[in-house]
Amino acid sequence: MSEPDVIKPEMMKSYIWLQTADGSIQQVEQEVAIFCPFICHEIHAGMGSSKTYPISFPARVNPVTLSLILDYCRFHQVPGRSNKERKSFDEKFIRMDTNRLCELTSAADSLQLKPLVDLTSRALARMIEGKTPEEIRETFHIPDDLTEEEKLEPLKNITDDPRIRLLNRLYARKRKELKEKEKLKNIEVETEHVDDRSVDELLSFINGENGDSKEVKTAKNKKKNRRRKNQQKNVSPVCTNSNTSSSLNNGAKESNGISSVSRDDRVKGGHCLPNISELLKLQDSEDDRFALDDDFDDCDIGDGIDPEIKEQIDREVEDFARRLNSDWPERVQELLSLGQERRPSLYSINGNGCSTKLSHASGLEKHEK
Amino acid sequence: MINIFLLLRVIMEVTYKAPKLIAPEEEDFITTMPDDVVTNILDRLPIQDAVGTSILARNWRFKWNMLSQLVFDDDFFHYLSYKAGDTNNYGCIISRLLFHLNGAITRFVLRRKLDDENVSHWILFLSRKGIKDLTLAHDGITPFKLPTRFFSCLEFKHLKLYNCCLSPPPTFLGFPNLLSLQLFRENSELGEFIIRCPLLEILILYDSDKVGKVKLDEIAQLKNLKILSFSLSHLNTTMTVSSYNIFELLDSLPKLQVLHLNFKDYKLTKGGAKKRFPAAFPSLKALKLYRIDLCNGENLSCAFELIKSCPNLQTLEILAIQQEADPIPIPEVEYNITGLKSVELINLKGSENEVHLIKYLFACSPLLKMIVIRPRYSLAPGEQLMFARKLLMLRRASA
Repeated sequence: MSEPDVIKPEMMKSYIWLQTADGSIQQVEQEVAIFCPFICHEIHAGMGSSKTYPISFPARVNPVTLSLILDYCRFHQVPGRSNKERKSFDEKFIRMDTNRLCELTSAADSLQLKPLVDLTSRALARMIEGKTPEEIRETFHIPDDLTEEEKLEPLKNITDDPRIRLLNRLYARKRKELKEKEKLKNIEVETEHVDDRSVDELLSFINGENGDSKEVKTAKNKKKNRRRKNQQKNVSPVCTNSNTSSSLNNGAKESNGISSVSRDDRVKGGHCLPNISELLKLQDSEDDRFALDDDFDDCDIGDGIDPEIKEQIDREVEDFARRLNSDWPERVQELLSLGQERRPSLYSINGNGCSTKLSHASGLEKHEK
Repeated sequence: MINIFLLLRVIMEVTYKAPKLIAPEEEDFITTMPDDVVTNILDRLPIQDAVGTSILARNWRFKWNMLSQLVFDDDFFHYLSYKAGDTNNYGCIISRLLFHLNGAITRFVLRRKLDDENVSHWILFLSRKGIKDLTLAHDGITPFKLPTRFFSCLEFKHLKLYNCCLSPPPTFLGFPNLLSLQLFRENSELGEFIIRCPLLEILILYDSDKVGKVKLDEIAQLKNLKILSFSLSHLNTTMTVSSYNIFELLDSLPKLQVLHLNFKDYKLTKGGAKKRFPAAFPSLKALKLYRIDLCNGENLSCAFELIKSCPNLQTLEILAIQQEADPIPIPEVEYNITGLKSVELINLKGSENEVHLIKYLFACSPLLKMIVIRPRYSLAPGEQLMFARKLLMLRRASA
């Protein structure tokens, strides 16, 4: 390429020393090298003039890439070329393996050679544009390591619509199922409160008709119905509680005393358990309350109740009745003291239950007032 | 000693396990490129392809979040209509996309009429992302009213606002970095807006029915202007325009390289004929006179003067109209050498004046490489033939 006239001036050209990361050193004509801004800066900083102080390149620039870059610089630094010539050179220049092209882009970027970065980036963009993901992966040897779910983030609606819509639906269904499971768990927690109510109903029947088993049954059925209906209402338990308390009042003779006692208690110590039903609830918790709950859960929809459970309930009812009819004042005191002690433990056993019980209490208070 | 070293080296080489099990040709280079390089590449892709790279591999999931150039043009909406269907969703889709973007956004192009509310919100979002180049174009009937937030984006460099209502708040002090402004169908105090953008290099006011008004001396204040395109209808009609005014304008824009002047059927007035025209405009390289009636004496002499006083003019385009029927005396013009390389004359009638102009051009343009003369569409074949004959008879200075 060099004409005979140019040989002499070429001899006068100054050379720049360059060193790549692997240690190899080479010479390049200065006018070629200064086309690259990075080299230009280094020269101004005083480097590259001799073999002992070569310009060292960043790690991304290996010898192959450097020679490509220098070829590019060598062509384009000549001012007399037409746009057409430059374009055709560029087109031929970027015809290389994709990986080499990537390396070249990174190297040009680290050397701040913007025209080359633009050229190579354009070429890489052309390789990506309009292709399916599989094709792109193949071109650039990208491993396919995404899970199906990750591919389905909602924003992907822009790319691969029908398939993603379907998979999104499946995913949403899964989420729904999970939520339902959680709901069931909550229901289980709720049913404990429902069971509280059921025991109160039992009590009402104790006072009314001596705890007939049938009543118990109906009460239980009622409870079940109520459970299905009023799962999240705290108002109804309040009502039933007040009913039971009133029925209690109506029933036993001593109930008046009880209620008076309870009222006094309420007046004296705000946080004491004022109500019989509350006391009895505490009693319940001592007994196999939770086992009872589970049993109820298991046999939820069936019409008949397990005979064993029925017996258990009968026994409990009788127990309550006995307690009610025994020495009231002392018994009440005892229960009160027990209740106060057991309250913290009650909290620890079942936080959810506690809060509702508290709300029951407060609800009752409101109602009574 | 050396032996021990050699031994150690051998041991190391034997025990050292090459981490790559794939051949170098099969390696994934593109994923390991620096982020700004990858962003540069993704910016050049259509948006749907850029977002689509997120399902290539685990490392690619969020590379598109650094996109800095967003172009929502016809291709994109065509793609959306194909995939998403419901046009009401488009705003939602774009909003969701914007929500994911992490980096600065320097360019935003929207070429579709979408819900004004949405666009206002996007402008608010972009104002926080360092937007520099904004194009809002739509062909709706009602112009889009730019939100106040728009006027506080001081980093704007390029603005293309088609069919937008430009009404800056009183506190607006201008866009200090604005380099190019292209407006179509704006209706506001344009002049005030312009003079507050001192660095403006490109000003293009497209002709339309509802235009804002600007004064010539307001344009004259933009000393950095390189490309100017406007219509005489943009000027305040209180002032009638003469050749002298145009030359005055050119004189005050020392860097102007391209001038497109739409006469829009106007006739230049005779005012200022006695004043001396300014000497020369060496920087002007391209001149386009649109809808100029060369049968009008003033217009014709203006055209001549312009060509004469721009020694470095390389391209000349004239789209002529013919309104006046009566012939006028052909003005005397000195013959100067022009540097014209390419001339395009469209919609000529073949009148004396036009031929005179062409004669002048032929005679004075030794560098002329290409001349395109398109006669008026409605010209009868006979007249066309006469025109052609006249042209062929003219002396040509170029090879």
